[in-house]
Amino acid sequence: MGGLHGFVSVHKKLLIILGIVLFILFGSIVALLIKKTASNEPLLPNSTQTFPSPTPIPLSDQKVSLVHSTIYYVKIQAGSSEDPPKYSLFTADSTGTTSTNVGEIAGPAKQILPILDGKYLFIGDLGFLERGNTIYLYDAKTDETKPFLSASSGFQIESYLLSPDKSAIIIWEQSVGATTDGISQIVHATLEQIEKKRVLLSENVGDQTKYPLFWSRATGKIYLDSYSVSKNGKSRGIFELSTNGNIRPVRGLAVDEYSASPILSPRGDTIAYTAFNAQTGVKIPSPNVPNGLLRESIRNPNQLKVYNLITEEMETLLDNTQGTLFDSLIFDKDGRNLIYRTLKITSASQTVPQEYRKINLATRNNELFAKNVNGIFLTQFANNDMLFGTRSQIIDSIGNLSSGSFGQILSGVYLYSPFSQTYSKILTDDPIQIFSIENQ
Amino acid sequence: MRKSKIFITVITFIIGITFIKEFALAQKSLQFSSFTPEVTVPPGGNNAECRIALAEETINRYKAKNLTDYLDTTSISLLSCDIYRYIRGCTSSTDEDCTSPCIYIKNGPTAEQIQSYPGVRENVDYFHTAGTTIYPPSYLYTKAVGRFDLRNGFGLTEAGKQEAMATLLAMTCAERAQELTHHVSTPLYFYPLQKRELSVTLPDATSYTLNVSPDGIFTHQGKTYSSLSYELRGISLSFQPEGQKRLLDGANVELELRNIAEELSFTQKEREDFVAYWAKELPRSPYFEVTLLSQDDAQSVAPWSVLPVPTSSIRYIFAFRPLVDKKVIANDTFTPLPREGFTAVDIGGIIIW
Repeated sequence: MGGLHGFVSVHKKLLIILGIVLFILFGSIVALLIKKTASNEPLLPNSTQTFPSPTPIPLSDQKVSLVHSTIYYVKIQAGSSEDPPKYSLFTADSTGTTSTNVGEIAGPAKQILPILDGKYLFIGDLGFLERGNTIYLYDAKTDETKPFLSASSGFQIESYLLSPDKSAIIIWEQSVGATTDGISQIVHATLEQIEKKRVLLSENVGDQTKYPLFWSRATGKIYLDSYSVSKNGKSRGIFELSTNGNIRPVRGLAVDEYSASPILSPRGDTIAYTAFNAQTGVKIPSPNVPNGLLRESIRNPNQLKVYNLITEEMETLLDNTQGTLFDSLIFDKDGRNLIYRTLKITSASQTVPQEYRKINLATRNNELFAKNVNGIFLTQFANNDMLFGTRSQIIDSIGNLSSGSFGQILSGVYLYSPFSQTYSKILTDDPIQIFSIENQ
Repeated sequence: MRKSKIFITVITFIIGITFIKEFALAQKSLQFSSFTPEVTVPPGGNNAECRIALAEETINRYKAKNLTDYLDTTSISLLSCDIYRYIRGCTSSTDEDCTSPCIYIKNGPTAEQIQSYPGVRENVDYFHTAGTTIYPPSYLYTKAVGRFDLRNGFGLTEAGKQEAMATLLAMTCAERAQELTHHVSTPLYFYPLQKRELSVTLPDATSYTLNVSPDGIFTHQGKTYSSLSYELRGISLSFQPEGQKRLLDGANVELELRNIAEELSFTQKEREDFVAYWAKELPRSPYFEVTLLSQDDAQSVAPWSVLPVPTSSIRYIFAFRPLVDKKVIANDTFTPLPREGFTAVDIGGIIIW
């Protein structure tokens, strides 16, 4: 005891320093553990915390992580009034050379989306205007389908969105039979506590009936587009909705500031969209119809713009007043470039597609990307190859996440190499609908 | 004293190292845990306007697959059911007719019964009329239009119907259909019996005056050419090529092209142009279905004209369809057309993407 006392008295200063060091270390470790635990907790239904954590991810890490990609697609087997259609689910890697049939979903259904571990969600029990009564969970491993979430009483499901980490869901519901009258609402729930639904937004359908467009991983907010159920159709706007129900218009995109719905960058911090410069010398006129559905601003997307959802800054990338229009926007894999298609207005007020071009958001360097305008680019893989789909004449309702109604069935899928400018046919010769692409 | 100092220093060092390692692992772990797989969904269909544009394309493909009759039946049921519910003003989730699936009614009324209800048949007829008046007849299409109308508040009132019709009529081609063009450069060769001036009008209505030798050589703006190259454009997405067909091996596409050129007795220059162009332009694909269009179809695809009128106007227009899987296709031998007198030969093609 005396020895210890002597030791302490002799090394008093050193021990104090050691104690301080140990205290700081212990405190830091505890703080780290708390932070890590908190970041893994699912969002509580009534929490005001926003999701997800906008932790910036270095691009180098993304490239390292993007080593495996999965393409999810369906083939539809036509049915009859006694035998509903069936949807055969397939997965393939990014080379597209081998496809695996992973299961089958009985239709009619729409919006099939993969969640974790071979499980898929889809809207079933489709009825009026192809709205569904139930979201089902299909387990491909056991080939079982179970009800996962029912529409609220008196409502039917138009569409849904999964959060970027697939831990939460947003459901867009409309009161049964709603067309020009009725209620539209947006409901939130976590997948772990799906029964604890919270209504984030409820409104009478009107000139700005809002519906979910995408969920940003960078801001944790849900972005809503809107449409008009009245006959003027002139009040489209983009809104930002928090998981606590706060809603506000996105600055600069509140009313008719865009031609087509914006797209979200891979990081989730930037949106790109087309808009209309009324000062153009060449445009397709608005027809003499009693509504605004074919107004000039929709028919003439002659501007290309980006908007930073965090800084709320808008930039005009391209502004053409000579009769060139822009459509089919897609960000490249790291969001640094925007790929778009150009169209030329003819003297007969028609449009002729020209080519795909690529513009760098920072340098504005603009170059030819692809000459083939017979399809649409769907995603870019880690090796820079792009998935290119040629559209068939068939529409169906499987893969359209945004508004849940009609989507395109692809007649062919190709890998496009931007370097060699060659296309390689992959997947299948059958018409398919790609409903998800995961880059891991 | 010294031992104690060393002991404390070592302990501090070990703790420090442990902390740094743990901190680094925690950082790395956090970084990876925050990375979630990217999920993207194909663009398209976001706008109601786009849905209309897509709808028209639906018709021809289904017709080509001989599914129209079946679809008419199904779509009548669907549309009838929707209209029936709309007219009835379904508002309650307890109403079985409102909540049961409309597309495939299992326990509810049949399509025929629904159509016998007041107001239903007339509205179905209206949409059918709209479809047959403005677009090819298809209930599938009118279903889409009908849904669009309902979604956008046109309803089924008289004013709504008139508004829908006016809007549909006002749409441009691009708004009614995906405006896609299958276009490639195609060479046009001329072989007059003696050197002479030819007036050539291409499908896009541009005209050229060329002074062509019997060997096909002509000079234009100071440069010498062996063919006039133009772009085949504006072929509809619904184009279904008919004619002689065969399967090409994508791994030996150059050899396959040479075989075609020999079968059709191309000249050496034509053969070189044909093989070089298509070996470069065709996408990579395990197989190709190639169709040599009939002369009638080729005439409609490539309606150029030459004055004076050639004795033989030959259009070898190929349709190449890339295939992933090997298909059983009639392995036709392509038959050359006679080149008699003044001859014009078009050796072009399209890719059915």
